[in-house]
Amino acid sequence: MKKVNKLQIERLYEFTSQHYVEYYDIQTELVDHLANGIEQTWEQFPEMNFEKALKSEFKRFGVFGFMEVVEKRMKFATTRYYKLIGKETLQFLKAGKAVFSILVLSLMFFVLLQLQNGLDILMSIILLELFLLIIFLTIKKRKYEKKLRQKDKKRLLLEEVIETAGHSASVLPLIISFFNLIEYSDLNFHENIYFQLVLAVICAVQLLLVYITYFHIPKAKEEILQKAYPEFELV
Amino acid sequence: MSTSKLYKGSLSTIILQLLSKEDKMYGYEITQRVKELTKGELKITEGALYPALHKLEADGFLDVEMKKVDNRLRKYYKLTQKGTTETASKIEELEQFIETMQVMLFPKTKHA
Repeated sequence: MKKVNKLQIERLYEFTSQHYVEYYDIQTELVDHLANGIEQTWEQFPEMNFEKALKSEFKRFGVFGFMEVVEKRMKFATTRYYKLIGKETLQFLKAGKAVFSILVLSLMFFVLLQLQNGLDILMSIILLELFLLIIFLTIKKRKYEKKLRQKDKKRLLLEEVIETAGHSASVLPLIISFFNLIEYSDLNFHENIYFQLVLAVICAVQLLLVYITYFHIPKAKEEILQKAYPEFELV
Repeated sequence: MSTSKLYKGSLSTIILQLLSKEDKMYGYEITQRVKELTKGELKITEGALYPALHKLEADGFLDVEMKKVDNRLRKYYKLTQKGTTETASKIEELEQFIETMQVMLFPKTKHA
């Protein structure tokens, strides 16, 4: 059976890139599929030109080409990432230290809310936290984009999701809206002691989630990627 | 040959069932096996196959293994324990569906 050679494999990677598949892991699977299809075509028509066989194989992906494959893959990678956050959070909570930390932080926030302008102070702390996070993520994203411009750096979907924290930076400002809702509500429910307790716990838990999402998981990135992509020889 | 929408909802079941019979398979192999078993009656399009495989992988029903084959890397899929359980459940669901449709389409006539 006539096989696709190394140069032609490189051409297939280039082809997938030209058709808007940016991630090496998705490209690899599509390259193998295209190569199999071309080899199958050569069984029937051994003299067919490689490019013609490639075009014929690509047509099987339909009018949208690789778009649906890429979109769905990105969606599933994000789902996988959020499941990973959930799993890591549970691991943290099972460890006694995390529960103790949440309790201490909740108590601190609760005491803060008892002060006269306690809610304003808490809002300012959360706002500062969000502001610093956005700056941190922006710097991180720039560093990652610089790394991508290096020669031979392969762009992996799951790595990008981890580096950009599932593109969660765009959601962070919504938390400010929540606090504005409390601040400007006529109901004054922020003076209710039960509400204060719940708010204190929420603020403490969100700090844990921030730590896991933006620090703990990125630190374990290499291990996570080695598990997800064992054949890609990640360093 | 058919790419009927009737098959659309069964694609995951078809993939799981095929993988339950084999140790592992790769995407192209799955499309060819379906074509072979159904004598060309059912053709899984590439645009449908890979999203279905990736969803099953994301849901924890499939594990992946990469191997270097013929100048390139190949991604093999195999069932996890959870996938094996899901396969049995999906097949039962499909069997129930077929039974119900049989009753609807070919009702037994009542004799006076």
